[in-house]
Amino acid sequence: MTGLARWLALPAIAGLYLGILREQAGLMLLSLSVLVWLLVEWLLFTWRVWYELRQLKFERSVNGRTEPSGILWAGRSVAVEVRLTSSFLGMGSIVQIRDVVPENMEVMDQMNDVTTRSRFHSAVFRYRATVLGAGQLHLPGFHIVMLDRQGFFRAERFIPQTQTFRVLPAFQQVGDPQPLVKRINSQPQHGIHRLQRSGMGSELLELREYVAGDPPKSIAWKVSARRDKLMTRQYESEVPVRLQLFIDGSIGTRTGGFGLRLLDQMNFVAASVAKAAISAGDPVGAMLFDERGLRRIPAATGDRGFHRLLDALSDFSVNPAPIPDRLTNRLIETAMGVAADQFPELLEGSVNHVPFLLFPISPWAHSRLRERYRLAAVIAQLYRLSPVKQLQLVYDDPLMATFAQHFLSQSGLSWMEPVVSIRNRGFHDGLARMEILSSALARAVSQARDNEVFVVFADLLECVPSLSHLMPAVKLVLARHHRVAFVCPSPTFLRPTAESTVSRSVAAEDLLLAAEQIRMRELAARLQFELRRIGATVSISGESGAIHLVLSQMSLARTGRMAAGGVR
Amino acid sequence: MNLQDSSFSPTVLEPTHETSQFSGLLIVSVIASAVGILFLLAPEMGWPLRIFVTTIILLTLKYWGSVMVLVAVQADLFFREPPRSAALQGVTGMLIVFLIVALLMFINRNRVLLKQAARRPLTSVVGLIVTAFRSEITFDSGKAMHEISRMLGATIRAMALLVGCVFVSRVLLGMLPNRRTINNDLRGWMLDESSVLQCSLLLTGMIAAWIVCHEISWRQLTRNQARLYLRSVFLTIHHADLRMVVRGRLKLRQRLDREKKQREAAAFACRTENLPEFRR
Amino acid sequence: MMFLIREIAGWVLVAAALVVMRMGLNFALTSGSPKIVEASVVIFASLGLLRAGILLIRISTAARICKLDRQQDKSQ
Repeated sequence: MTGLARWLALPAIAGLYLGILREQAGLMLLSLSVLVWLLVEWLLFTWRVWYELRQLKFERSVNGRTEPSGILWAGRSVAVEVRLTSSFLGMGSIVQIRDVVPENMEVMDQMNDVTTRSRFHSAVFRYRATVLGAGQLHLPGFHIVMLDRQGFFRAERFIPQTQTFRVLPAFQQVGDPQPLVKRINSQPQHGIHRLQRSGMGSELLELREYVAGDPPKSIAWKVSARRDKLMTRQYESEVPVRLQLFIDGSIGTRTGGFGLRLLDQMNFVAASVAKAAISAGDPVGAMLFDERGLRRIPAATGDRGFHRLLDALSDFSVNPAPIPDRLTNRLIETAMGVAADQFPELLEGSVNHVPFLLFPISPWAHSRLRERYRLAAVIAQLYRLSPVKQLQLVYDDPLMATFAQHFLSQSGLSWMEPVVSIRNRGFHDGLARMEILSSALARAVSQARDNEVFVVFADLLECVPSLSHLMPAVKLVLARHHRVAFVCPSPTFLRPTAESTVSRSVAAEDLLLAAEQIRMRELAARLQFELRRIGATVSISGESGAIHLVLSQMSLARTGRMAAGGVR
Repeated sequence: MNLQDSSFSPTVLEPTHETSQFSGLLIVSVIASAVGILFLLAPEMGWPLRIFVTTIILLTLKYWGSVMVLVAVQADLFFREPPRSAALQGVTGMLIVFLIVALLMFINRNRVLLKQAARRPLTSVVGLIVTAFRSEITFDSGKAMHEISRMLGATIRAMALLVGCVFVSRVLLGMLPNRRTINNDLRGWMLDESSVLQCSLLLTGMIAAWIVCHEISWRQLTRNQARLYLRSVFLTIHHADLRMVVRGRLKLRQRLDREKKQREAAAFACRTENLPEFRR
Repeated sequence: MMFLIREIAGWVLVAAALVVMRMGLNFALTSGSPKIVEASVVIFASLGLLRAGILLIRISTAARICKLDRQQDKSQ
């Protein structure tokens, strides 16, 4: 019953009472007619909810596919079509249908929300949306609001229609991996590169005097005859170049909205360079690390290898259960909002009773406690908790925070305020991150071959004070003649340059952004100085600049030179 | 939004071209009918006061629908209708009540239209009305026929519902022991035992009918709702005991945490106590 | 079977509550000397009975839905 019906019923009851007291037939008849009208509307509405909602059937197809699972790409547009079927025998109630989409999906112009009458045979509505970040996308179902024509009654229901998609990270096709112009006499096998060091390749590197022990077949007989001394042909080395990606998935890289997380920027650069490397025939492997530990993806090449890497990145991008932290009002309100959206039937007062509570006396505190009781009941029902645990959710703030965060995370929301606030705990002081990254680098070196390019994607800007813990591992990598590139994306998507530190206006937001940029610039300068000093390259952005930096390192590795200038 | 019906015309509630042209007319008719009925009330009231009250009620139409109109009509009846009057009994009374309730329904049904009009600039609303009055309405005959038949059907259904409601109310009033035509005297009615019994029977019957309706609607619970209800009933019954258990556990945990902190502090103090003194 | 017994018991309680309520109304509407105090006591008792009956009916319905659901899960 809506407020309108209540406000209409109130004068009607009062009028009937006064009419009986004063024996006014007209007043009595009018008031009673209004009451009977409300009663009839209620009966009709109850019947509609029972009959018409049961008749309503949905079928959703995403990019033309109706299967319960599938694959989508981050950053790409998705076409969704929802087919509704109903009974034409309905009474034509107003039905608002909303295809509930998670936070990882941005719908264009709210087109997932339609209003229709229940009296139709079949209908279709379509909308387009953009998938924001890699990970998982879960379309839970349809939120339905049923109203009568007068606006007296309202019923909310949720009809589950689950579809779960793995979202692969976006990538950029960079340049032409295999130039068509032939610059060498013999084309090495796909994925094998000429390393301009002596070896057993097919391209001539240089001629030198014969030394005892050289294989006789390498003697250049014509040159030896001309010079009158034995000369040996020295061939180039031909080696594969392996790309090893190190991706940091700690809390700092996962906070923020989908598509804006540092992890999304890292995924984009990693997938783009992996695509470029695999197109050139180079195998690509990865080491994924976060609070849960280290996971190694063996190096592979070809399309299958690329997709295996993307699958691994996608799984890695799914937010793990967040660390329990303090309970905030915002967390409770958001959890209530999601519960009202996806489980409206469980919040109905008729099934979700709140026991009689005398305290707290303050009406606001009282209503907050009642709200918490209701949320605790929904969470307990969803996670099959015991009644004691359900009551514990009401009185134990950390437990409620844990479950509320978990509930929001599973409902497709990105991590929220309490997680961001965690500082100086484990990973945030940078030490733990440096240790795990160091061990990953050491492990990769132990399994590496001749010619590898290590690309570290990590949120190192916040860990600059602890950088000394990482230095030994980086020096070890460089000592083994591998190349190291660091990609440290910034949360603002801006490269901290001199221009970016100038405030655009005197508005508080712009001043804050400028202050943050000044801090970032100082950190970036220190990071670049420390790492470049020992021979590593650094990019402070998660965009195409970083991709080109990594690709230039790969092309250097292919030629065997130490730097673009030509030093071998 | 793109809603298509594969077998029928679109069912989306966004007004079609044909119906949207009438929205100006509908707004005018809602306001005119409300003003008309409000001006019929309380003829002895002065014009300035009448205009003021009418304006106030019109301003509330968007939010409150027909509530304030009903209150105004009831107030008028309360003050002007003589007690035990036979003027509004019989068919005349029923017809008047039917017209009033029909007006209330008309206002309620077009509340959304009023809300939409309130959001738009005044010029566009005036433009809509002018379009409707200048007969610049264009039709696609097929669609218009469909729309007209749909609107006609809805109107007939609403009228039938209202007639039924007023008729049932009349019958119910006839059963209540306030029929002054039979018992002109209040004392006479109080002595009429049969009508008293009838009244209590009627009230009990209404409560019984209400319970039966509720219990029928209760049987449409979903599985999760049923489980949640059982859980919540259990919690309500044992709430006091369970709350005591939970609070006890939390207090114990807090005490243990406090003791642990104190132990750690004591251990730290022991370590620092043994350190040598600082010498200047 | 238990659900049925519980539901029947609930309806019996509701019927009893309605009878008691009617008794209370009769007390209140008695001509001459309306017994308001007696009526309020009886109506209060009837409301308690009504609440108990409705609770029994609702619990048995909800439990039956849960059990049907579990049986369906098992058969699947």
